[in-house]
Amino acid sequence: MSKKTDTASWSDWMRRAQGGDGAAYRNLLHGISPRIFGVIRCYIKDATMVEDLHQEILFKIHKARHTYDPAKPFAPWLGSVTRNTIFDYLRRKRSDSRLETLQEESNLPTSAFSLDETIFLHDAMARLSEAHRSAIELVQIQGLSMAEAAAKLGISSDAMKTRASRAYKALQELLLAEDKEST
Amino acid sequence: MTPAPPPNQQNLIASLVADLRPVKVVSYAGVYARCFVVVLGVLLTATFVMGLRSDWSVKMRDATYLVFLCGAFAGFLLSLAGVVALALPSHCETTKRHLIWFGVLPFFLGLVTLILAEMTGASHHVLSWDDAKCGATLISLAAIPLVIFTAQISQLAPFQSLRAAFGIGLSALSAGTIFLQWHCASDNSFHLALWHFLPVVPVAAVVAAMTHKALRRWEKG
Repeated sequence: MSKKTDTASWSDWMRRAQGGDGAAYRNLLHGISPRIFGVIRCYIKDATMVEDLHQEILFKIHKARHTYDPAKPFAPWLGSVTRNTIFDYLRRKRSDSRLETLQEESNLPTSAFSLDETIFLHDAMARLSEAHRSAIELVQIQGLSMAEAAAKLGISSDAMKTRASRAYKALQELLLAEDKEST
Repeated sequence: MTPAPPPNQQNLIASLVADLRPVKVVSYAGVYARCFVVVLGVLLTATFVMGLRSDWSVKMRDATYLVFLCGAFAGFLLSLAGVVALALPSHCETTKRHLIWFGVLPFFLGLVTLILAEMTGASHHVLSWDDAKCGATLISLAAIPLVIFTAQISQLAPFQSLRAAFGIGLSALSAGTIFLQWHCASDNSFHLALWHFLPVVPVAAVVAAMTHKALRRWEKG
């Protein structure tokens, strides 16, 4: 099933779940669960934390389901709940520096995380070249400084900055292209 | 084919499905309209009880007065729009949440008024009981929208509770400023700055610190 068909089904299932349809709700939660898992893995490596957060997001989706407008696509709503829960979680875990890195230092604009395809961020990451993916993983996911990441890859700090900048741009382009495809 | 979630996730999904009840969907326009009507009701009631300034009709032809009145009104409308956007997870939340900062507009108008006051040599005697009454009116008028907005928003899903609570404070206090502008007869610029406009931001900050946890009720309820 394509992503576009997936999200169309999600919208329909959520609309029916709001009316009390348990089967549609089960389908929805089973459908979105792996995608949420993938997005969390983009931010957090610790398996226990990922599982905790995964459950927390499913719980919040349940609590906030009345705020989803059935006239609109489901993916942005889901992306917003997922993103906000992850950031909340990181704040609680005293990972403010990690959050600031994500929101401020990154060349990837915040808006990119709120596109319809937020939920497909991990797919876009998989499509990046090895050099670009490793740059993002070291700086954004593992939270290393540019100098530390550069040392790990055996390149100069300036080259690391350039590589990271190009990686953000490539990731942004992939997400924007995905957004155009789905709209 | 979508892979099945791990067993513990399946248990959670099963319990969430078992807990499923039909819900009434909330809309952005509906929440906004309810909050707007509350403020309109408060303003009309306060005007009915406390009255307008005697030279109101003359003042409505004064461009400077209108700029300040419209500034307070814009602060109220736009910060409320930002708060509602923050409480409804969606694509537009990211852009609309910035509207909250328009609630700071009355504060800047207060700073402008202070500068004008210095330039025009206005009286510095603004600490009388009559002056303080404006401050008390501002806070008491804001209290009703504040409680109702907090109750409304806490039933939605505001993730950034501190920011949302600050926006609620800005919006409610801006509504108080609107009333003071058409009720208080004082034209002393220091009085206008100190008692009508400048309290908006610090009081909203205090309100946010005190009430933001109440906005997290939806997670437990």
